[in-house]
Amino acid sequence: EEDDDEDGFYTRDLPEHACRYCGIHDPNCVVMCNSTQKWFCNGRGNTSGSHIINHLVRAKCKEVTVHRDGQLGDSMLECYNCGCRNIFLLGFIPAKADSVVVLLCRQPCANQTSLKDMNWDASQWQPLIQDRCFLSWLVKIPSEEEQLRARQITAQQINKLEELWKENVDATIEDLEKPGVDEDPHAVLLRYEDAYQYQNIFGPLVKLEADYDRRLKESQTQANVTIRWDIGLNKKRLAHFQLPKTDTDMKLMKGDEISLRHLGTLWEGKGHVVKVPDNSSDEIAIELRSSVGVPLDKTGNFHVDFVWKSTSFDRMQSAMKTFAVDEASVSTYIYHRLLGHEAEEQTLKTNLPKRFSAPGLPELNHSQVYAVKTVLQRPLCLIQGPPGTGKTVTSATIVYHLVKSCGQRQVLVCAPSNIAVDQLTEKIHRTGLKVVRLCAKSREAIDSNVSFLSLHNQVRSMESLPELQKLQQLKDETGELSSNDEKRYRALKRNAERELLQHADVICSTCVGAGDPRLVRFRFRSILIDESTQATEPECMVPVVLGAQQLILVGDHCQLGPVVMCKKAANAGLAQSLFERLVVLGIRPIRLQVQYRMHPALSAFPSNIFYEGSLQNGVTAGERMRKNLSFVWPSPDKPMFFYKTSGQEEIASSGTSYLNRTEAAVVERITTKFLKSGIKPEQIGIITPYEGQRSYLVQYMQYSGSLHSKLYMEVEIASVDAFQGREKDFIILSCVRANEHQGIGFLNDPRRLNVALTRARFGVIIVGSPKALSKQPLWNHLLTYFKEQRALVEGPLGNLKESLMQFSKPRKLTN
Amino acid sequence: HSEGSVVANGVRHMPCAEDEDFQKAFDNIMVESIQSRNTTQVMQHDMTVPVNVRKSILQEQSKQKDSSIKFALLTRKGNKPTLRPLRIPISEHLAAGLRDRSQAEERR
Ligand SMILES: [Zn+2]
Ligand SMILES: [Zn+2]
Ligand SMILES: [Zn+2]
Repeated sequence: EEDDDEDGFYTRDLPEHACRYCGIHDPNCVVMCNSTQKWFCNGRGNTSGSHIINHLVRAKCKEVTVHRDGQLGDSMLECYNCGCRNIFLLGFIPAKADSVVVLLCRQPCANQTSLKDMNWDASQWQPLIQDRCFLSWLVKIPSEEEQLRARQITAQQINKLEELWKENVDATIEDLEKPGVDEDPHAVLLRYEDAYQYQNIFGPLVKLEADYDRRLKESQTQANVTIRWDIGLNKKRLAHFQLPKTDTDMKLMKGDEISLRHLGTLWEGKGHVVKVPDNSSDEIAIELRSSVGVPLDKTGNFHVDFVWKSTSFDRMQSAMKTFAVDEASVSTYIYHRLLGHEAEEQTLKTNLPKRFSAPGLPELNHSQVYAVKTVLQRPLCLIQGPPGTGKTVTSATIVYHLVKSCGQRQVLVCAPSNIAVDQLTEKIHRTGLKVVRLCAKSREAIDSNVSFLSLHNQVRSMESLPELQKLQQLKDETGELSSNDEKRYRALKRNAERELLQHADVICSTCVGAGDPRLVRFRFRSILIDESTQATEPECMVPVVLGAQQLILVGDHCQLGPVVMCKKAANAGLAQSLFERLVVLGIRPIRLQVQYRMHPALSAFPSNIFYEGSLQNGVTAGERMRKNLSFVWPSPDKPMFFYKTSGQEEIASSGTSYLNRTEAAVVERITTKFLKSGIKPEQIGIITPYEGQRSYLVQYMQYSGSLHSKLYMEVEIASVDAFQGREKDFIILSCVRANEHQGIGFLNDPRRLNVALTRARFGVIIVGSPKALSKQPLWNHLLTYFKEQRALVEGPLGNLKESLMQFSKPRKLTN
Repeated sequence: HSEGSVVANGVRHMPCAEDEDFQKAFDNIMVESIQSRNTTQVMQHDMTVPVNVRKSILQEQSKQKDSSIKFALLTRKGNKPTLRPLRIPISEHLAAGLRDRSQAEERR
């Protein structure tokens, strides 16, 4: 047979140190990844980095060992001074007069000024990795001939293999061809035959996301953590600690469960996160469930594990099952509309109120009145609320009328995030309705502006139950109750909770919170879901199946959609919201059209590009003009500009990111100017796409800002995603990465740009490289717009000059 | 597939989405690595080259007549500084710098 020879090359037993991708095993050509103990070669094959670098980057590993038969023998690749083994930081520097070299980390050791005195020449720094390969004289690059004889592996296969290793460390490239491993899940549909088909398609996607989430959480074990003990206001035991900065795929959230172990005493305790790293400190705080036996005298040698909980995914799966098997889960009309079936338009017989505004809330404008009026008469409605158009007030008003005029016994109000639920809860409370905010048990300790409305706090303040109050007090003081008392306490609490829930006009919770066992026997005719464009479909279904006969979805599909971490599930359509699918099915959303947030000059571009020019301004330029700025806008009537930074943005393989630093410096100077003009730090928001740049900016402003560092600390610096749903007076957007060949990453998503541009009330400044950004059609439009407004500028901030830069004409946007 | 076609293709870069993702991830890991160390402070240890070993390693004449220069890499064995021979090609500026200096000295 012809193929014998080639096949034999990689089916034969290869030595342990053979490249796991291509099989090359010349000891001079291979390196071992310390964390996975797998070997890889320093050849690129057909990719743009060598195999070892491909592996390290994809698996997020940073330390390696060379083969002992190579010229370095058993020497470790580590910083001679500090022992750092991150190969992305290491490089050689020579002695001034000798043929001696030494390995140092570039930060801080190679930057230490004292090196000079010791006769080392740091200016001759040579990084270990160049052009995404190890230095070829250190780890040999296999010859072209060798590479051709080896297995030809593509970047796609490398990707899949790395994914496979996350589940099975011993997987080989042959496993990629086995059935089942690489099958893509069935993609979502526009229409479904029935709810079984619906469940059959969404079930596996939810499972994929759940598996991904579990693996991510479980891989986050941290050893050797130092704890600072403390006591919370509620007298519970708190543990503060910092985690070493790793990659930031995982967002730690308040309420997440964490398990803490002490290696010396074998003590183990569980608790949940009550504080995450923020501008004020990088510390995480967890509240322990029990303070019994906590080794308070120990601070070092703790182990932190993230406990994965399947609850939210289980609730989605169960909601889809209910949708399929329980006819009473939603009305027939909603059943068919959700599945995309044709159904005759229905009108509800309702007594429309005479006045559409609700007590305690602002007067409604014409488009809000229209929305309220329409919604009350229809069983299924979508409301689109562009930025600053009073979505929350409109939603709260609708809820008010559902209860008061339409005689709904109880309305269920949900949103995907706790912040959104709290905001809406507060507005509904203002109308005088009886509201209960149902929180997950793990979040009960987390404070919010509506804590007094939360179920657990309302139970505590029920004066009609003195016995419960007494037991509660005892429990708070001593931490534990006798088992009899505990039983009694729980029974009393359960009854009190049921009573409060039954007598509420409105129950508010997150979407997955609606799957709480305490709501299991409840039925809601009317359900409103705010920010529904940020929820996945299965997430939305959790409240919907609690009896929906009238469903109101509020959101904006032109802003950011749901976050789905598993790429496979996202690509199969899990990242599309129910709202969006219903829009595609032809249900026209009612759009709120008057925006009250932005200076009219700031709303013009987003209105034209994202909302067909339909946004009207409810504020005048005068109301959004900030006087006495120590600062001149290029066009006095337009509080915005695009600050052009030079095009040296590519991060060299040598590792210095000049662009980030340049932009950070500009952002700091602008911020300082704002602060000097008397603008309060909390009125300024800085949006930046990368976590790396965020923490760099935080530090840079602390150390290099010319004003008191405390001022900068109160300036919020975060990702676009973190700013969604909120506003600031001034926004500075630092585009950070922009190079001509690799696209512009996060900024490519028009919805993200929309959100970034629509957060500011008084002024927007964008800092970025027009040269690179203009290649993308949407950004080209934006740049052209700024240029037409004579707001594309460069030069010193005190003396801005219009940039005369030319870029190609924008292509027509297809939207 | 015959052997001929394989050779004709050669080892060529094949651009694709996965490879572009890799390039971005590479840049990210680089920036994160550096930025994670921005506030790291370490002690400056003694970095003197041990004299006795240096002589023996560097003077040992190399038989190889190639375009590389013999260097010594300063490493630690346990806690003891040691030197280990390391060949660096002339084309590298590390080596070129040394050659230029020694030539300049010779001329003097
Ligand atoms: Zn690895
Ligand atoms: Zn390889
Ligand atoms: Zn170091």
